[in-house]
Amino acid sequence: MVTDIKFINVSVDYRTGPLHSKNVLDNISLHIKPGTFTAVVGHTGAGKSSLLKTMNGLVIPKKGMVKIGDYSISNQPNQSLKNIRKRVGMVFQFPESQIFAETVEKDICFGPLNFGISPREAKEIARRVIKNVGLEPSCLHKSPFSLSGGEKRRVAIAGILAMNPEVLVLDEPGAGLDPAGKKEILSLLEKWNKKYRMTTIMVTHEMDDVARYADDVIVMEKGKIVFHGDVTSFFSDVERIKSWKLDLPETLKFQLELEQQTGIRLPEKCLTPEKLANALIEVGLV
Amino acid sequence: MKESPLPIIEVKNLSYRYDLRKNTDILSSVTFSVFKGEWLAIVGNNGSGKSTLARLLAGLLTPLEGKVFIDGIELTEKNKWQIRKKIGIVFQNPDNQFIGTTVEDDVAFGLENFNIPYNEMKQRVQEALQMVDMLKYRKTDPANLSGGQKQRVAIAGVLAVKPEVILLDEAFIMLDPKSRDDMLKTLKTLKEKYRLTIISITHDMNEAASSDRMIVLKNGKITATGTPGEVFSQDPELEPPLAEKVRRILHNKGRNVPDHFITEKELISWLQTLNS
Ligand SMILES: Nc1ncnc2c1ncn2[C@@H]1O[C@H](COP(=O)(O)OP(=O)(O)OP(=O)(O)O)[C@@H](O)[C@H]1O
Ligand SMILES: Nc1ncnc2c1ncn2[C@@H]1O[C@H](COP(=O)(O)OP(=O)(O)OP(=O)(O)O)[C@@H](O)[C@H]1O
Ligand SMILES: [Mg+2]
Ligand SMILES: [Mg+2]
Repeated sequence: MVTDIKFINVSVDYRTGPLHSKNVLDNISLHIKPGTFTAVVGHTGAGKSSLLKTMNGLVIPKKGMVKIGDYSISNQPNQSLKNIRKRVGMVFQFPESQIFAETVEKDICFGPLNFGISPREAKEIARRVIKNVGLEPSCLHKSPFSLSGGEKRRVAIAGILAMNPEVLVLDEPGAGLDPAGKKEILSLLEKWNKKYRMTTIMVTHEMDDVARYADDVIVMEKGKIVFHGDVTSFFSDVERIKSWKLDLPETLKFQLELEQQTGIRLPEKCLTPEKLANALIEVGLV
Repeated sequence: MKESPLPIIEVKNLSYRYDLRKNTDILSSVTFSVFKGEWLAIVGNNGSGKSTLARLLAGLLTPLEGKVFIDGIELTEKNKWQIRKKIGIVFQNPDNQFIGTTVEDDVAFGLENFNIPYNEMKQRVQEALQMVDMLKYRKTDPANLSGGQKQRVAIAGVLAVKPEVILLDEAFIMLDPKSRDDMLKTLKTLKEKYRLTIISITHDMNEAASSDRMIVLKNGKITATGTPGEVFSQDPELEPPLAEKVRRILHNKGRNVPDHFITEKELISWLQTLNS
C-alpha cells in the first residue's frame, strides 16, 4: 500500500487552559505524494514537530482535515485513529517519550503484538530490526532506560520499523547518533523508502541530510509552510535559503566561501565532498 | 596550557560499572586533565561511556575506582553540592531536567542552593534567558516548549549559575543551525572574557575540530587525545571534518595534496596559492 498525505486547511493550537492560544499550525494545506522522502526544515518553534504529530493523530486539528490515504483525522468524532496509528509510524524528537517497556524486546514487540502478529513472529521481527539499527541482539533483554542516549534513539527507531508502517514520520532521527550510526540508519530508511515505497517524512536541521536523502523539502516558518518543492529547486536559490535563516549543506557553504575568497569558480553547486573534490580536479586546480 | 600549573579538573584512573555482577568496565582507568580556559571536546561512538563520565564528574555516580579532583579538591559524597557551583552540567536529555512550572522558575531553581540575594537572582535569570534568546518565554511551562526551546532553557539554567566549568552533554543537538552558531559564539566569548572552561561531549566533528583539545573514548577507554589535527590524523575511524575529508579524497585520487591534517582555512589558502 503506497500512501499519500493531505492537509486541507489545517489549524492547530495547544489549548491548555480557557485562554485561546495562538495557532501553532496556521491554515496549512499540503499534499505529500505517495512514496516520497520529504525533509521538513525550519527554525526552533516553527511547528515541525506539531506538523508531524498531526499526521498520526497525536494532535487533532482545530480546523480542517488531515487525510492519510483513505483515512481522515478532523475534530469530528472518528474511529480511524487506530487505523491511522497502525499505518503511520512515528519516531519522536525525544526517544525517552517513546520507550516504556521493561525490556527492549517487549518495547519493540509492542507494536506488532498490538496489530495482531503472533508472539513468536514478533520476537523474530525484534531480532531483525535490532540488528538493522546496529545494536547487538543481547541488548533485547536489557531495560531500555539503562541504555545510552544514542542506543535509546536506535531502539525507538527499531520499534517503529517493527510495525512495518506505510508512512514513516521521523522527528530528528539522526540527533544523538554517532556519525557512522547516523549514516547507516538514514541510509537504511532511504532504502526502505525506495524499496517498499514507504512514504517518509523527516524533520532535520542538517542540510547535508536534506541533500543526501530527501526528494522533497518543506520549509516551515511560524506555523506556515513557506516552501514545498523538490530538493533541486530548494537548493537552487541560495539567497532564498538564507532569507529563511536556514543553513546550507557544509560542502556548498565551503564552496561559496572558497569562491568568494579566491575568485575560483567551480562548474556546479557541490553538495558532497566527493563532488567538490571532482570539481577541483575538473577546473585543473589540483 | 603552560600558564596554568594546576588543572581545573583532574581525572585519575577512573573506572565504573553499572552492574557489579558483570566484569566488563563501562569506564576503564580513564585519566585526563582539563585546564582553566580550555575548550575540550569529548567524542566517541554511542555507548562508549561519555555520559557516564559526565555523571561521574557531577557526583551523580560513585566511581568503582579512581578519583576526580575539581580545582584541586577531591570530589566526595560530602562536597558534591559545593562543587556544583564550580561545574555546571547540561545533561543529554533536557526533558527530564525541568523542575519549575515556568521557564524562569526553572532557571532560578538552579540558583537556590547558593544563597544568592533575590535581586541578583532575578538579574541572573534574566541575563541567562537573554543569552539563549528565551526571555519572551519566561512565563511558559517548560513542558509546553518545542525541543530546541527546551534545550536552550537547560543551557540557561547552567549559565545562570556562572560556574567555572561548563560540561555540555550533546546540549546542541536540537538547536537549529543558526541558534547553534549563536550558542557557540556566546560560549567562546565567555571563555575569552572569564576564562570559562568548556567540556563539550559531541558527535559534531566540525564543532570538535574547532576545540582546543580532543579526547576520543572507545569502549570506556581513552584511545586518543591531543589537538584536533593530531587526533584526526591518529584515528582513521574518526569521521573527519569537511576540509580533511576533501584532502583525503584528493589524496586517494593520487593528487598532490598536503600530507597532513588540514583545516578549512588552510585548504582555502592552499587552493589560493595553486590558483595564483
Ligand atoms: N504541548 C504544548 N503546549 C503548548 N505549546 C506548545 C506545545 N508544544 C509546542 N508548543 C509551542 O508550539 C510551537 C511549535 O512547536 P513545535 O514543537 O512544533 O516546534 P518545532 O518546529 O518542532 O521546534 P524545534 O526545532 O525546537 O523542535 C512552539 O512555539 C512551542 O512553544
Ligand atoms: N543506567 C544504566 N544502567 C546500566 N547500563 C547503562 C546505564 N547507562 C548507560 N549504560 C550503558 O553504559 C554504556 C555507556 O553509556 P553512556 O550513556 O555513558 O554512553 P555515551 O557514550 O554517552 O553514548 P551516547 O553517544 O549514545 O550518548 C552503554 O553501553 C550503556 O548501555
Ligand atoms: Mg521539534
Ligand atoms: Mg551520552
